[in-house]
Amino acid sequence: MAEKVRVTFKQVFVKDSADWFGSGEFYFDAKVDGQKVGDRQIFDARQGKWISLPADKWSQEVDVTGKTAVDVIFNGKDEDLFFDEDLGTIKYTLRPPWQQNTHTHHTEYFDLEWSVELQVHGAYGMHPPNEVFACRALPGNADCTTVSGVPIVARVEVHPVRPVPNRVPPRGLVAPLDAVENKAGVMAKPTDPPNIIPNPAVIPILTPPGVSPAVGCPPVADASNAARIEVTFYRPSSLQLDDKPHELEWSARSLSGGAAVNFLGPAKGTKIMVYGTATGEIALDVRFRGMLMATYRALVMKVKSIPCRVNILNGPSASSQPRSRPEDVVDHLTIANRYLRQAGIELVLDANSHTSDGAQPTTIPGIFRIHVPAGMTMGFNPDRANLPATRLNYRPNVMNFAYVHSDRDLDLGAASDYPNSKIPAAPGDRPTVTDSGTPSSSWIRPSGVLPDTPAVSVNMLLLGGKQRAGHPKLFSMFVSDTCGDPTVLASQQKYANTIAHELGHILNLGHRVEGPHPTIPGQLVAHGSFFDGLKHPPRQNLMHWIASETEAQDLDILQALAIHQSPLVP
Amino acid sequence: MTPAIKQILRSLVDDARSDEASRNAAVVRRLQTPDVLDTLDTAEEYLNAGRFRLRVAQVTEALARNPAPTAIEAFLALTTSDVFLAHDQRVLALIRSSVFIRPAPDALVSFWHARSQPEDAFTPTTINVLITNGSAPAISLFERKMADRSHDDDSKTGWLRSDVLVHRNDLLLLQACGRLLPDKLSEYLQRELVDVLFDYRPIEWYPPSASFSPPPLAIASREALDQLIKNAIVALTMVELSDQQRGVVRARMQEATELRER
Repeated sequence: MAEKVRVTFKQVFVKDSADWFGSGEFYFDAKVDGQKVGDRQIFDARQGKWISLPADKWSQEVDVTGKTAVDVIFNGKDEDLFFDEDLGTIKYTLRPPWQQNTHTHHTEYFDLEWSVELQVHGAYGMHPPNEVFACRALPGNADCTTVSGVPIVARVEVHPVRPVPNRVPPRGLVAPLDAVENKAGVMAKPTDPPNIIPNPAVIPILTPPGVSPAVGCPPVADASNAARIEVTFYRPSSLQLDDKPHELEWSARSLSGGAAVNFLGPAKGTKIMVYGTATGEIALDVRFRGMLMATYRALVMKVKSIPCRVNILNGPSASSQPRSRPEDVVDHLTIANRYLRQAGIELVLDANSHTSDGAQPTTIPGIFRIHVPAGMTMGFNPDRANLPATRLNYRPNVMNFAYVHSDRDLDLGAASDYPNSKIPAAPGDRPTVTDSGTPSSSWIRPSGVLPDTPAVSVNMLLLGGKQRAGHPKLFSMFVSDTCGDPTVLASQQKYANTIAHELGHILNLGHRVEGPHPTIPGQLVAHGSFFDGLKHPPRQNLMHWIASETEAQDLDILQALAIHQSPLVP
Repeated sequence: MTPAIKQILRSLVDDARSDEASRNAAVVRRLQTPDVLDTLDTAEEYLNAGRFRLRVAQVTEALARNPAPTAIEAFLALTTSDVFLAHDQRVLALIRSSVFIRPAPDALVSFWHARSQPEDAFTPTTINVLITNGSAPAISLFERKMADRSHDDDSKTGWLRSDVLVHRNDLLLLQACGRLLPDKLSEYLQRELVDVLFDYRPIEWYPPSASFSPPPLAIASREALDQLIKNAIVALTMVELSDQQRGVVRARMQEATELRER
């Protein structure tokens, strides 16, 4: 963008009229950057008085882009009968960093007051001192100056992981960062809208507002279902980008598959909303003063509904019955769906009323109660073969949840049955998903986020299937009372996080970061059998082996790609 | 925790740790008093026993860890107390604490036996305690349970994969497995036991949420290595194995032989 300044000669104070009698007849000759400014108007110069110079004639705009100096020359003369008297010349050289200022310079006969204004967003004037005037690109950052001539390095990030991990790629900045950060996670509530978690891996395809969706088409885009994309870091704080939405401008470009999105509301500011109109992979670029500052990469696809049924397994006594009621289960699933929406999926209660194994319908379709022996819902061994609890009342290709009292190991829940992914793998090998996009999934390094080095292909290992004989279409897990009081929000979030995490396994996701082997140094739990092979983010991914719901919330592009290859996802 | 509850808990744990018979007996008396039990852990805390350990479990563990004969007597008295056993969570606390009582007295074996019946809510915990306790009476009861056809084979695979695997260097357990292998198990369980003693297949055996790891063979005692080799011979000669299983057994037998000769 062109950088422009405006020099204005404002007024002249007459110290000495240079005439013996009465007032003088002053005129001025001025140049700015070699261009003549003003005209040959004669001003009545009275000693001790000001001469105002008309701004429309005594201003000059200069494009200073690339310039290293701008000369300002102002000469005064007193017109006389025989020869004009020279009142003196003021010479000044403006140099970068350009800065707004009002100057006063003197000759023997007059004082000159003149100003330099810098153009910001097409407007001249005296701007707030921290206003940015000009920027030049640095790798990943912008080398800017304010209208006061103060140099700053500006940076904007849109991190795909929420909560944002502390370990981020190199920023090329020196301390102090003086940054504004928006890095917290989301503790979702059942009443929160489906899109409450920002910066999802999947931007959902929705029907544009004003268009009536046909049967089977996605719902109309609105503030509750469009993807929220948020700037997670900017510096310096003096940019005040949260209060100046016009400073950040977003645009979209397809990376593959003809992906297309629309912005819901203005495509400006630190927080925007966007929805998809065509599948593929999209880049959302955010610019500051026309300079590309950050790119957010996402998949664009329809939100797929996974049918599920829930069986609450009641033992014979109060001490062997889970506390969750059908309405609590609905709350847990609702919160779980907030996590899952990041990957473009949602759980929907099964509308089919067929039952087996003595299941009794409840008032909420898709949720059942079953009376079972104590050992099937309390204190059971989750590692036994053919776990009975999770098979009860299942329907093929419908996710089957067993709400139980507890298992022996006091697990919060566990996936028990999950067929292979549709991604093929050689015998003995685990399937893998590869992503080569920039920025990398979860900003795994090298991230391609400047000044970090370019991203490379990242491979993620999937879990092979785990199935019992005779039930090839059984997808199941149990959720236990160990999650806590099912009616209390904090515990509901634990139920939901457990459901979403274990469902991740059922959709063939491994652990993002795996625990250490209990006795062999350097080895992983189960010799890494459930590890997805990646160690980033350190704790913020939903599939972290042990982190709780306050941290483990994110699903990334690699995981979204894998999830949509599960036979459970339509 | 209120100061009053803290005071009760502290006095109970102190008495449980004492080597004075009267103080151990006082623990039993107080833990059979509903008011004390209800004060120690509220109804809400019983509901959350899966997340937060009951306070009464600290008392039973203190008794079980106390080698004084009177402390063990006190512990065993609780195993027959209707008041104490009235809540499943207290039963579980008692079973878990009993892991520290070695060797297990007959009364404890009876308690364990009663709390390892098909379809009850205690068996997996009891089996875990038997194997972790590791004393001869405990392992003997485990052996009986493995041979007991009233427990289904699927449940027993759970015991093998989560409990036996973790202790597969233990001599007494290896000896029991050696007795079970030839003819006390179904063919399915014979092969499962061979797998657990000689192989390790976590992705097939465990859900991702809970994995168990075997101890390194290198730390097994010489006697355990000898027994493992004997079990390998039994497995290779008396159990119907796949070629792959035979290969795994031979490889581990070879490893054990090399370790033994060091």
